[in-house]
Amino acid sequence: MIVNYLESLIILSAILSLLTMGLNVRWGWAGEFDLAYYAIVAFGAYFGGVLQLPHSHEPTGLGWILGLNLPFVVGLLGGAVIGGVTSLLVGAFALKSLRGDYLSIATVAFALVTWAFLSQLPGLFNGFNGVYGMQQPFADVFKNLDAQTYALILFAVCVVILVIVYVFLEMMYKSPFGRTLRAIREDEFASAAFGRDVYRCKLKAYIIGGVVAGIGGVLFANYLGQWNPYTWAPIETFLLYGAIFIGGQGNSRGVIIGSVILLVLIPEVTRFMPQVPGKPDLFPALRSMASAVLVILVLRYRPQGLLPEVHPRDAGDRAPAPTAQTAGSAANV
Amino acid sequence: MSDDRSVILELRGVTKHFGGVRAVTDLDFDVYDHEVLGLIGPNGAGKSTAIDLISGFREPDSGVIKFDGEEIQGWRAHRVAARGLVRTFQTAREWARLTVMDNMLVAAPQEGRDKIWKSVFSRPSLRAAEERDRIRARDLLRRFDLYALRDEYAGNLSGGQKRLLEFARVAMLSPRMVLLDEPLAGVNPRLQVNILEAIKGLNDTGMAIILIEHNLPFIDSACDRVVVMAEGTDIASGLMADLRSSRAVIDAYLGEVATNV
Repeated sequence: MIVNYLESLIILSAILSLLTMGLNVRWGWAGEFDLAYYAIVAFGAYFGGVLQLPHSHEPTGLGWILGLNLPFVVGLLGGAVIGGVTSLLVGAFALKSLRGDYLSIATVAFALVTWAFLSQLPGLFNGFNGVYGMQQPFADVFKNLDAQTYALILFAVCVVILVIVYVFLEMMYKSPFGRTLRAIREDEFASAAFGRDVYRCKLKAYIIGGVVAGIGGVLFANYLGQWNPYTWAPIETFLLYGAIFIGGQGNSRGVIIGSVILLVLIPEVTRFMPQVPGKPDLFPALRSMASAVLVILVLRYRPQGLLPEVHPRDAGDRAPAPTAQTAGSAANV
Repeated sequence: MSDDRSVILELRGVTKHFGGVRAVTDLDFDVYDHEVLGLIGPNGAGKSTAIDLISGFREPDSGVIKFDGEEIQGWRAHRVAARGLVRTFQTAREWARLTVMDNMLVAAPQEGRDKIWKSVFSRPSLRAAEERDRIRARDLLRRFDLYALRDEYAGNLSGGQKRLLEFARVAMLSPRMVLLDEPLAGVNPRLQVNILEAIKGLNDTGMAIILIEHNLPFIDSACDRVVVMAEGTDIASGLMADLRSSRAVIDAYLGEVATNV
């Protein structure tokens, strides 16, 4: 029982950490305060859902598109692709000419429009009812297992995907590509002056973030078994930002810690509080306030986050300095 | 004296207006290979706009800018830089939350190294290239007296050190030509001699340089030739010694300074 509960916490932590890591590529690496993120997550979740679900049996004009009854892995890849493609479309417009606050305004508008659009359009993703009936990953393959053993499979799937994404992102972060993104985050004019195509680099980061968002969205939707306008809202992007602030902008490990603290531990710790008679909303409200206060305290007293961005060290010369012939000048200070 | 040298940068009729403001009008001048050209003029003469136009940070309304035999007007900034023409800014623009060493590694020529797929599939060759860059960067940082600070975040450096880092980055990239926009701005006067050394050092490696600066003695000691701008266009060019006696220059610039004193 308690083991099941802990497993479910780890599964949820893995999924939410995945989502936060994708946003961290956009904000922590490239410095774009993007607010369309959860809409991209939703596109991945919806699309992954309709790839896996059978044909919709809702009355005409309702229901969802596709319904191809494909395996989970295809849904996962489809979600990743759709996350990347929607990010390409949004980013190609938004990043071309908008910076800073203006990019945030444009992207939050995109997220709100998307939410309204998907809620109101009954024939695309079944409007407010959403898509439902997704199986948990590989439930069809292991259908003879009891629930407790199956939970281990789900647990393994989420953790393995988290580790794979983490490893890929770390390789990118430490590469010249990652360094270029950080330079753009610090000063895009200087980056352009040193030959970097700022727009293209930002767009690449935006798409990488979108692919991770799509993967996380599919996992989340399969875990919940459904995805509809009540399970996601554009505002949730801010919770992911909160997790990044707490964990440490730019540091994937920190971002995982921040996600676990803000998105899993705080809600779970307060979940078992006794109900105050006559005030059923008191504890949920206090929970939101506790999250907000935590974010503010971290920003005030430890603005770099619990695990700040890694400060790289140069090994220095092994041998005494050679008189190099390299281009340069002699500033004999 | 310069006529036998080849021209690396050529401006012909370059014009840029912002609404009714004629920032640059019909600007013509040449820069010869390997020379240090001073660009002077009173505030509002259009010097910085000219730098923006040459470096691709703004697009000219009309005119031709030819760099190394190729017309580059209207190119975007990163393309101009990749072609070998790099600029600096009036305020030092370091990458603040990158270390000094990382600033140098970003400035190094990339030759396609910052492709995403290479970060996953080409790691050994990236590591080897980075090690070569590091060795070169350490050497340059030592020359600019920044070696001990190489693990420091660039944002923590003093104003003068940020300027020296800017020169070190330019040396790291080693372009054909560099445009220096007021490199003495925000620099302690005692460091001016170091900046002068740095400019001469870059020039010694064969780089052509345009230097914008208000400090005329500094221009005098750093530059071969000088172009004087006023009201958006070039009004004179030549050796500083000759320009001092030019009526137009005195009216436009030196005279103004003199009457201000």
